[in-house]
Amino acid sequence: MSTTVDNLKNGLKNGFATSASLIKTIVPFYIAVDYLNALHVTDVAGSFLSPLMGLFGLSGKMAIALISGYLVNLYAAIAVLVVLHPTWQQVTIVGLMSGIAHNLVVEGAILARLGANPIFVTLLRIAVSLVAGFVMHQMFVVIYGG
Amino acid sequence: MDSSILIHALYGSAKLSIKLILIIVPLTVAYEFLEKSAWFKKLLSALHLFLKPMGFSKDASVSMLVGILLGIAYGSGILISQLKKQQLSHSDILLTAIFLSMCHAIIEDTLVFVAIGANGIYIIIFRLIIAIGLATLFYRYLAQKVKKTT
Repeated sequence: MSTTVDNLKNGLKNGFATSASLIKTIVPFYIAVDYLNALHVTDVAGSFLSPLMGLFGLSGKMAIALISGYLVNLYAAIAVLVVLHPTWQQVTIVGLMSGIAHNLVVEGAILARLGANPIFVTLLRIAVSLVAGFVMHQMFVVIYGG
Repeated sequence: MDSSILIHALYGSAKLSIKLILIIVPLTVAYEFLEKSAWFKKLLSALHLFLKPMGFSKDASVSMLVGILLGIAYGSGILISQLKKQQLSHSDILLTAIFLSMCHAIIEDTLVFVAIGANGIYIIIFRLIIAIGLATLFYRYLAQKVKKTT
């Protein structure tokens, strides 16, 4: 029985120590992103990017959904997207693009905590997400027509 | 600054912190039991069959599985507690970061978009192909770099 108690003790100790170190990493960035979001930074950034949305088969306003996903999280992206009456292809493309790159500030901080270069990983995620969205759009055009 | 924004941010981070503790602590406890159990080595070997071609060591397999299924914060929870216990290699950490940054929490992430009309199969297949492709590429690159320096 002593191993069960030991396992429990070690697991709890490890869990709380790990949670504490993650919380310390995440919270400052979470608060910063929440502030930016409340100040409508996503709307401004989205309006700059709207002309490019045709590359991904999206309407201009859907840029705000993408930026919200990049900066905040998937739920923020969905909240914006759903009111724009997207087709299933558009939902799938936004789902893929923001699935690859989302919550970049907070997750960048976590990756840095692990010892990866956060700027490199973040730029890589954005680049891959743009390429993937473009490729999926082309594929949908071929399979289902424009 | 508007104080209601600050309250909203603090409330959100308190909620997030509690959620992290509630998920990570049971995971690390479960991991502790799993690590001591007889079939842990078998499970690792099975996982490792899939991850070996991309350059992952056996030790990294568990945090990969947790990360892919649950998410990057929870996967790195296991990873951080593993880092404290035993040294994961530098290439394990980089490869895990690359793979998981492209592909994590695939169940939750996909379902939330399926709920509003997406085709989830396309999303999962694309993300897996991208993550496997990039991890393999980086592994090849790292292996070459090591060869050159030694």
